[in-house]
Amino acid sequence: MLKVENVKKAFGPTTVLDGVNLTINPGEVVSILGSSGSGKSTLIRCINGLEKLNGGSITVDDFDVGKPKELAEARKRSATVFQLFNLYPHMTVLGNVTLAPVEVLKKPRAEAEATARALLQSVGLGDRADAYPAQLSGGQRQRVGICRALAMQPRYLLLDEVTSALDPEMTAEVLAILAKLAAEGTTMLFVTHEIEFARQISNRIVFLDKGKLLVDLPTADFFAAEGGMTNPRIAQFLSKMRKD
Amino acid sequence: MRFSDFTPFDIWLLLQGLGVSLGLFLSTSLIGLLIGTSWAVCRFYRVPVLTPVITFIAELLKNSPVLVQLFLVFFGLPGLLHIRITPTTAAMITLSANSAAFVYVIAVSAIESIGRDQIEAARVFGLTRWQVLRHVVAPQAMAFAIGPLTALLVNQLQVTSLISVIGVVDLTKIGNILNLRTLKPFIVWTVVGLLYYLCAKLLAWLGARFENRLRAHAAWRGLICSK
Amino acid sequence: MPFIVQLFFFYYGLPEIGIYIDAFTTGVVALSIAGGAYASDVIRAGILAIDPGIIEAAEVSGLSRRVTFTKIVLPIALRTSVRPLGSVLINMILTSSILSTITLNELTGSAQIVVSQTYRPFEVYVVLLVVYALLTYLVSLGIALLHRRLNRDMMEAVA
Repeated sequence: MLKVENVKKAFGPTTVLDGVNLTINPGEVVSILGSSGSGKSTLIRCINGLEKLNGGSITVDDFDVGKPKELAEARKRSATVFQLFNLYPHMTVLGNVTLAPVEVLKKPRAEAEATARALLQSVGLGDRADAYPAQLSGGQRQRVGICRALAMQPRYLLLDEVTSALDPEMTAEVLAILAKLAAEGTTMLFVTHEIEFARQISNRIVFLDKGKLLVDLPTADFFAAEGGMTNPRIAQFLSKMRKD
Repeated sequence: MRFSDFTPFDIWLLLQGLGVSLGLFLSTSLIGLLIGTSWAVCRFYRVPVLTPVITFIAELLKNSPVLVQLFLVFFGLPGLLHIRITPTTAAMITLSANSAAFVYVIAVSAIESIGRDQIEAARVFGLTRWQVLRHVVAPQAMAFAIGPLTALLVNQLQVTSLISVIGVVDLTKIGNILNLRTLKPFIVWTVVGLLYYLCAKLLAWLGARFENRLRAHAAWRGLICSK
Repeated sequence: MPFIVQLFFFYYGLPEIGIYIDAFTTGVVALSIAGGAYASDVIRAGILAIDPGIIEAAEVSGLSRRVTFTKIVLPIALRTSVRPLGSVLINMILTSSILSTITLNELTGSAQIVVSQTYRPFEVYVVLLVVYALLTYLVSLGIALLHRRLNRDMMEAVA
């Protein structure tokens, strides 16, 4: 279980997260919605330990990310996919996907490569294993990023606006893969602007506004008139973003 | 009788040497700046014959050791032209030319970093090439060039130490003299090195201050738009 | 600090503390130290210029500091630093001429000997100048080639 308890984070004088509480159970797919600056990405960055908390705690399967010794264990249980891909430019696609399993999980190279090739095959990049990131399109790079994360066999998959840097066609590619993962039972926490997508595959929707968690509801309730929409801020947000 | 210890007079000697070094540094840098920028302007106007010649000379001066250039001027020219030349004159000529070559490169890249469209706009309004140069190109180029120029000048200050080899009594030469007399190289050369270092630091600081003054002024005027 | 001062420091100073080494070794030591200082500056800049997102991705997948440094930071930084390191190398070739002042007969020193024998300083030094310029030109070509080869895979394909 991934627990976020009363988390506070400030950058200098600006408070970005203000007492956020969240629990993710295995198998759940949770999306975090909110406008820019609401603290969504910061929350993900706190969970994977890139940002230090100013208050509260986050535990991944009872490993506290605030404690350096437990952080390493916590990081083995989660994997992150980034908005700007952050692939290693000097390594092939295969190298990117196998680096962490070999170095962190201490898997034998042959096994890591076999797993990697299988993953790449499942996202449609089976024949590009020896290509370099510079030779791939944005959508392909993000798919590699997803494989790199999955290769660690994480219990929690963290996705930070993974389609925001892609054009509509590539976005559709990546979303299809994410939908498949969700259907297979992967625990996912994702920050996104794709509201329709969130609606289709999430179990729960969490709405952040100016660092505060306004609501945390099952998907159907969030979009229902008597549920999430009663909150004026959410109604305003949805009316601006939805295409209908 | 040999005085192999340091005397207070040595401080005066060091300062004299420093004075010579700085004097030569400042004058050759100034001349180098003038020559180098005029070469860059030549290139800006695309003067037909001069430009490739200038580029060739600049490349040669940049990619060869200053020591060899000094030898060429001090030992070579008198033989060729049958004139007598003092070490100081040789140093002046060589260092000015060497600085000019590097200034040329910096000036060219500074001028080129100004968008062509601004120059076109100015021309379309009827400004002559000279007016464009004076009002549009020069102020902006100067602001761009200050950084690299400061670094260049700091380097050229170190380069002046080579003139001691052809006999100019600069700081390094004084160091040699003191070293031979007192046979205490660690002290002598550390002090000499320290003096050069302090001057370099001072120069870098002045450059940074000047750059800030220029940038504050220019930014307010809106001359620099960060793309 | 001027290289010649550093050089004199070693050449005259080391015998004072009992280390007697020949001019060649002294020259090598002095030039290596000076060049190393520049090179470390260049590599440091290369390391700082790496996209921080890449380091974050490595950190988050649990890679230790050591592994991140050896397998990600260093390979990328060295590839991008090839050109500036090349200019450090060229700088060192030119600075080596200063070693002639401590009785070392490298290129410039040998040229001085030729001058003293032929009494034709102008021609000798002009040739010397051209030789150095040619040498640096060849090195810069080599560096450009090396840079292209190493960075081939990292350069964006033109869409």
